Amino acid sequence: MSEVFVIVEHRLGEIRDITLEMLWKAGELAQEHSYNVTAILLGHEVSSIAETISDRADKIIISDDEQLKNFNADIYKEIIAGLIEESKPGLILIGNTAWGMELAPCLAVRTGFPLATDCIDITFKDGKLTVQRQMFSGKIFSNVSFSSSAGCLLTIRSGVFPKDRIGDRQAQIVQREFSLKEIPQKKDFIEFVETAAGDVDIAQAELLVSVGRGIGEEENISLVRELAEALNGLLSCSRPIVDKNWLPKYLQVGSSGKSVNPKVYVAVGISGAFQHLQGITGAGTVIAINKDPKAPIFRAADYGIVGDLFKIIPVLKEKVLETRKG
Amino acid sequence: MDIVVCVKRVPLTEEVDLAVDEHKKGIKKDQLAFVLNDWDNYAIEEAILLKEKHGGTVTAITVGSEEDEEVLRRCLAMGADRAIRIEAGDVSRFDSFGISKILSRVVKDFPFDLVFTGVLADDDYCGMVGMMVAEELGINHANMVIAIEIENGKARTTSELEGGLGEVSSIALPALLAIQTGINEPRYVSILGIRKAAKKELKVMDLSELGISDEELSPRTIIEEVYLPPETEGAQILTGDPDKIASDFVEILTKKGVMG
Amino acid sequence: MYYKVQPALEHYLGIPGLFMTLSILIGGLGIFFYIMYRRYLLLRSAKPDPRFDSLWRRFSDLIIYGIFQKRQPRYLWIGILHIMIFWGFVVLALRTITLYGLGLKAEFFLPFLGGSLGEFYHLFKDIFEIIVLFACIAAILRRAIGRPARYEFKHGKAHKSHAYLVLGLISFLMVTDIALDGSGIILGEERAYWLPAAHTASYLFNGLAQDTLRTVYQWSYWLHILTIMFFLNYLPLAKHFHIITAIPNVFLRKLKKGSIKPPRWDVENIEELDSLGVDKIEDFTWKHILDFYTCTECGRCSDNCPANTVGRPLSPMELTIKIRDNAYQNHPILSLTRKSTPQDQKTSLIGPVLEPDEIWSCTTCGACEEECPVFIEYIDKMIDLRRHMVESAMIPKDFQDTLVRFEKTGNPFGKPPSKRADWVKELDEVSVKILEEGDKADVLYFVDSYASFDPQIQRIAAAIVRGLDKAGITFGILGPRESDSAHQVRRLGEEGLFQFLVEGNMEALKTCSFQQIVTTDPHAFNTLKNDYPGNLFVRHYTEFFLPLIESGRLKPVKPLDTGSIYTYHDPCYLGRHNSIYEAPRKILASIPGIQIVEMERARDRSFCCGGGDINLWYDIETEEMRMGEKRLAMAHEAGATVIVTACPFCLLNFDDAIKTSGLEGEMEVIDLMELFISTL
Repeated sequence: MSEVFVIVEHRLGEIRDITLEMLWKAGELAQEHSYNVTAILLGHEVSSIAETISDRADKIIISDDEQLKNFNADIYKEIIAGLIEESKPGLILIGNTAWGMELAPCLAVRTGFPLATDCIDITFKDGKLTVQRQMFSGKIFSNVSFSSSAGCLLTIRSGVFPKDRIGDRQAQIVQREFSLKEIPQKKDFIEFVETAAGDVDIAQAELLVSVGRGIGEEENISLVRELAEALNGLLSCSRPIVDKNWLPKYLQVGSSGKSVNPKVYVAVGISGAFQHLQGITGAGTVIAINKDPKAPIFRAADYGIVGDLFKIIPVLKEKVLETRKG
Repeated sequence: MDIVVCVKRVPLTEEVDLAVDEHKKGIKKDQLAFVLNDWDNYAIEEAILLKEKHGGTVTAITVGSEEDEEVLRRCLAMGADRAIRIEAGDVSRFDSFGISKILSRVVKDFPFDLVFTGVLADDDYCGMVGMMVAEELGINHANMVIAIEIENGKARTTSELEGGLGEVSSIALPALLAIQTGINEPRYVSILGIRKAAKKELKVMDLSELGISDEELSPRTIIEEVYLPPETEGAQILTGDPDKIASDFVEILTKKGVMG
Repeated sequence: MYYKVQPALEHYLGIPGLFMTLSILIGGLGIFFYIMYRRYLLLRSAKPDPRFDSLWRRFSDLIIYGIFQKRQPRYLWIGILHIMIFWGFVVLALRTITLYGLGLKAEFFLPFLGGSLGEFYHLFKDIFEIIVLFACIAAILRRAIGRPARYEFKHGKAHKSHAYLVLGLISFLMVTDIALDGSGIILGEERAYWLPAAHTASYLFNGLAQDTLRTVYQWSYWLHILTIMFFLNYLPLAKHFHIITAIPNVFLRKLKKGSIKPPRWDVENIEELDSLGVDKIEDFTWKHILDFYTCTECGRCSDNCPANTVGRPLSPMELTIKIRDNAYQNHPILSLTRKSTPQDQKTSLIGPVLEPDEIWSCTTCGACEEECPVFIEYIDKMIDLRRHMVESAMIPKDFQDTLVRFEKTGNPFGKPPSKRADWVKELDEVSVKILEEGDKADVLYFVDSYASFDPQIQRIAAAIVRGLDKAGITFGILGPRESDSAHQVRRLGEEGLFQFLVEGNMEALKTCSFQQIVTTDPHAFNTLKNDYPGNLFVRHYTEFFLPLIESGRLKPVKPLDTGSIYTYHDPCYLGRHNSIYEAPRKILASIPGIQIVEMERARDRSFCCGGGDINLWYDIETEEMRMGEKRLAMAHEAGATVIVTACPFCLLNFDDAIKTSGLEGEMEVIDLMELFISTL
């Protein structure tokens, strides 16, 4: 193990937070076990992105090509497989994101390396690499190790590691060119679209009252809406509510919805699946209301109320209205 | 338009408290009910919708034991034309690598325009099999698909990215698409419908027929241990009678400056 | 009787009267039988329905409801008017025959109406003619000026013009016969009695010339004859078909209340059927189609339908008439192709004729069936329509998850069956035995899903268990081996799932021995009693505990707090469907010092709380207010402060309604058993 690859994820000219989180963890591992962190940056006109991470890696391999303007799993796969062949890194980190989840499995088959996805922690002890991940919607944790020690691919969950700089580095920039003509272009990028556009922007709200599956039926959402209104906040929700078409997509909080950073986030009947939690990493104070004391949300919240939301919400609303009047 | 859909039977864990089994490598399953994986439900529905629109066939396949046939029956009842179960003994000894090798070896011999999988499975939450099968088959692919249109041998797909963004792409068929939840509203199948679907073709193949070496199937990821979530300090639970809880609630909000 | 003018012998434009009568009879009856045959064809192409059981009971019900019209006075004044008109028809039937006879043979009279009996009959029918005429005019005025709301259609067109036509025709018939008699008297016909109508008419005719009188006489006669034949042929074409079909319809009524018909009476294994439920009109049974023929658009069903009252899209009357209009369109009397519409062009009912929400709106409360004077059935039809919708996946997504949970875990919550008896652990004073294979007990307490898992309803189960314990009854529950009674599942239309759950429960029940089953809720009681095979002896807790209370084994002693005024709400499945009204009231009344008021709508006129069926899991968007809120308002109006229920779903609905109506603090809801136990 001498080198850790981190695949840089960026979109529309901006680096994505997951890259910084991965670089942090790679840096931490590198410090403990003294090896190098190499960032792989593929794209077009990405020098400013390289700047951002120049103090977080030992080496940045950049391929700046017009054909790399849009992410394409097939092209990335070939280039990275080639780089892996050359350098034989012990560990390759990719973000557990929509793009990462397309790239990583293909790369795993292509290189023959083992792959573990959605990792929330990495430990390297006595020459053995172990990762921690979740199963059954976060109800079970597991420790996973690998069959071969030649090299491992991992996808890392967003929001688990800090985004800080770790260690003191100055990256050596290596410009590379690849003949992309030989790589078959299997997918044509057409455009980006807004799937969650709407009248209201929950990302700007100061206070959100969010409703999840625990609400039971569509008609009960009004109960939560009333609390939101009493608090002069906005109503938002978790994914299952949108899947059922009870509320529009632009009110969805979570990795596939919106990331929000209100001062206070009240989660009503939300279990706390990680995709949802990823949307509230920026929230100030999280107050969770759920009848299941073991719900994962209570791990992520600052305050919790364990009980029947149908009994509690009206009482909270009354108290709020009372306080406002007085 | 011939579509193959890879499905999986998973435990229903929504209202259940899970317990770790004695080997500590899995969960206790004897009290659990099993259902079709939610993502696969959307995938099968999407395949059938496309078949209804463009004609063709839908085949459902799963790797598993006789108990797993119930999800295949459900797919047949929803409108799939035939189903295939690959008998492979104790499936838990395979990881995603093994499963995708098995699936791709079976699918390879079919004529197909599209292969669907769900993005994730509700139990292991790995999300690898879809893309791996695509890579094994050497076909085009897209992940997290929330919309599909077929025209002139090409699929125009919208993939769900983070933050409410979608990516629209054009892919030439044959292709593999990993389907995300919410793409459609899966239809209900009644018990009677499922019983009647018993008349449709359900073929069982044995792993040994596929000619895959043990080495190829050996797991590359090993579950060392599973355990219940550690008790972290987590949230400070508000206690007392409802009135007290409400007062505390308001106090917190006031301190955070949102009671205005 | 002596007739001055003999229509049979007269000649009209050279045609003998006898010939004219024969033409009218043969022609008119010929057309009539043809029309009836066409109507019969649709019945024949429908599904079988066994209705010829319990003949004795059917005959006696026919007398009570058909002849004595027991349901009519539920709407008092118009009910009385209708009874008058109906009896008028019965009495005048003999007159009609006599008149036709006179057109065939001079001096015709019916054998037994020869001498003085005939004269007496003549008086009788004369008086009735006044009554009928008066009733018809009153009815016309009521319709035209009063404009009762229940005749109006919310969507679609009512056929009110037909009502006026028929009332007009009947009045015309009365007038022509009176004119006939009146002119006859002046012409010299003698009568034994003074006939109020005929003699009054004769005073009006006094002074007219002989020839004019003869003309009046004959015009009255022929118009009357023709009108009757026209009337007869008109009946099968519109809403007055009930004049012919009502008596058979009442005779063939559904005797087993509360049960739901199997998908097909003639096919036991539903897997053999290509399709389940009703899609096209021919999928209904012939009796249901007879129901459609028999509807008179009186609107009593819709007037009492709770779904209709709260603004849901369902109006039972409109549903029936829409289906009937569609049926008449597809099976016309006259058609150029000489056949009914071919199979592939037959319209589905759901979509073109009915909206899905119309069918999902029904709570199966049975108020419509309770009101209908001609015993039209609705619930079985709704379920049949739903069966088709379930099989064709025309089902709201919200149900799907619930149904999958029923299938996988035997309860709608998705909770593991192993936890079904966990509520028992919370009880300190009483230990509840969970019956295993081979166990014996006097009573098997069928808890059902809500009482097992919902905290509010668990309290009712606790109260029942305390009651059983205190009364010294040996009892047990099935615990994890119990699945939901599947009452709701069947009424949702998922017949396959219903059978599956019933099989499971029957298996479990067979393994233990017990004298009787007692249930928490009326729904489980209803289905175990009426839907399950094996003739189970099952009672709802109210009927079970009453004898224990009356015999003194359970004695309420603690007084309740004064100031609360209690009212009892009749649950649909205890009350209307199973006719249990008094047992709960007696239990309530047994509590010392209790103050009880009765709501205006009580017993069989009780207003549904909103349902223990689909409405738990699916929301009809268009409703204006919840049924529970409406019923709560009725309790409030009656002066009650506590509404007492005997059904968990009523309890949940009212609890909700108290909150959403803002009546917290003013009104409370409590289960009867919980209340009763608190007084022991």
